[in-house]
Amino acid sequence: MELLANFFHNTGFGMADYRHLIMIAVGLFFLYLGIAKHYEPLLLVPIGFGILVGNIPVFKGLGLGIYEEGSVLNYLYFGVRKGIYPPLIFLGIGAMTDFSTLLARPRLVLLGAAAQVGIFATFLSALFLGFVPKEAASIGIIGGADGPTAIFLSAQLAPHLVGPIAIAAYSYMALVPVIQPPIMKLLTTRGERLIKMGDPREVSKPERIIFPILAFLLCCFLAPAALPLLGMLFFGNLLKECLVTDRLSQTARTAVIDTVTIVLGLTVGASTQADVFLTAKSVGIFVLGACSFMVATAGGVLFAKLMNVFFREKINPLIGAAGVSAVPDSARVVQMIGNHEDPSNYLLMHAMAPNIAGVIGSAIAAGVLWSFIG
Amino acid sequence: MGGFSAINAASGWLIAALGISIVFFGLASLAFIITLFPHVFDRLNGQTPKSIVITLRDRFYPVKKPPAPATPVAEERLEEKDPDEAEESLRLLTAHLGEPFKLPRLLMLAEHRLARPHSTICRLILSGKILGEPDGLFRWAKGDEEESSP
Repeated sequence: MELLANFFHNTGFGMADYRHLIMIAVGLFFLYLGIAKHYEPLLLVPIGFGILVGNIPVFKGLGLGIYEEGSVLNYLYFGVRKGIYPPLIFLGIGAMTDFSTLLARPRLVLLGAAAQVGIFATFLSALFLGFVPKEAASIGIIGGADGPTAIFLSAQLAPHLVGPIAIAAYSYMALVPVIQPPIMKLLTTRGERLIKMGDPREVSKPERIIFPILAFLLCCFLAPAALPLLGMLFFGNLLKECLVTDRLSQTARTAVIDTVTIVLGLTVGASTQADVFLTAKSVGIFVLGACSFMVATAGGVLFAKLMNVFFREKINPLIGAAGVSAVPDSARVVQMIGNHEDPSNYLLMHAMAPNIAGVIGSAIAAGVLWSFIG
Repeated sequence: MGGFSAINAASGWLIAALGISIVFFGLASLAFIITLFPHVFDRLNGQTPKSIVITLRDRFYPVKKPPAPATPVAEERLEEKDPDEAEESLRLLTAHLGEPFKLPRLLMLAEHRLARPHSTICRLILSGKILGEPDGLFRWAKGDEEESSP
C-alpha cells in the first residue's frame, strides 16, 4: 500500500497543483482556437501542445524540464534563448513573400511605419508601470505583432520573459480577427470604408530582384542590430525572386520554416511552466501586449486618414490596420471588413503592402531598441 | 520605480521619439527609392551592362578630347587687318557658291577663312557692296564686282 502511495506521489496527479491545471487549460484553449477556430493553427497548435508538455509536473533533477541543463527540451530551447529560430523563420517568410504590392504602391510603406507607434507607446507604458528598460523594450515589441521579432528581442534583452512575451505575441497575432475589427470600425466612417483603390502597376522582374538587395543595405545600414532578422528576410526573398535558386527557395519556404515553426512553437509553449509563467509580471505583459496591439492598429488607421488629407489619390484607411506585421492575418481582416461593407471592394492586395512594410518596420524597431538599450 | 520618473530615468521619451523617427525615416527612404525604380528601369531598359557603364562614365567623368590638330585652313584664317583682302576672300567663296547666294552658307564657309566673318559680311552689307534680294538671297553689287574682279 505504501508502495502504491509513493507511486501516486511520483505521478503527475500527485505533484500537480492548481497552477498546472490553469496552464493546461490555457494550452487546451490554444489547441481549441487553432483546430476548431482556425486562428493561426500553424502557431497555436504547436504552442498549445507545448504548453501541455511544459506543464506536466515532473521531478526536478531528472533532466526532463525545459529549464534543466541537458534535457532534450533544453537543447531545443537553446534556439529560442540564443535567438537562432527567429532569423530562420524570417528566411522562410522572405522566401514566401511577394513584395510586388509594396513595390507598386510605395506610399503604403508609410503605414507600416505608423503602426510601429504601438511598440514605442507600450515601451513607455511598461517603464511607467515599473518594468526595467530591457523588459519594457521586450514587452513593447509585442505591438509589432510579430512573434519571431518579439522572441528575438526578448531573448537578447530579457531572456527570463521570453515565454510570456512569445505567448502574448502569438496569442494576439492569432486574435487579430477579434482585436482589430472594432478599432477599425471605431476610427473610420462608412464612407471611408467604401473607398475603392485603383489597380496597382505591373512590377518588373528586375525591380523585384534589386529590391531585396537595396532594402537590405538601406535598412541594415540604418539599424545594424536588425541584421539577423532583415538579412534573412531579404536573403530569403532574393532566393525566391532571382529564379536561379529554386531549390534553396523551395527548401526555405517549406522544410526550413516548417521545422523551425514546430520546434519554436513547441519549446515556447513548453517554456510556460506554471511556476515560471504564472506571475504578476506575466499578467502585466499580457495587458500591455493587448494595449500595444490596439495602439498599433489605431496608429496605422489614423495615419492612413492623415495621408488622405495630403494626397489626391485616396486610400482606404482600413488598410492602415494591416501595418501591424501579422502577415497575412491583418491583411485578411482588412479584406474581410472592406468586403463586408462593399462586396465588390477587394482590399487584400493593397493591404499586403503595409503588412509587409510592418514586418520590416518592426524588425527595424527591434534593432533600434536593442541598440539603445542592449 | 515606476511612473514618469522611471521614464525620465531611462531616457524613455528620447528613445521612443528617436525610435519612431528612425523607423519612419528608414521606411520613408525605402519608399522613396522604390518610387525611383520605374524611372531608372525605364532608362536602363534594353541597355547592356557595358553601355550602362559607358553612359555613366560619360555623364560623371566626361573624357576630355585632345585638342584638334591645327588644320592648314585654320592657319590660313585671315586676321582682318586688310579689309580688302577679306572682301577678296569672300568674293572667291561666292564665286564658288554662285550668285545669288545664301548668307548662312557663305558665313559657314567664311568661318574657316576669316577671323571675324560676321562683322566683315555685316560691313559689306552696310556699305552696299552685298545686296539683299526680295527672296532672301544675296548678291554682290554690280559695280563693285566689275571693279574688283580680276
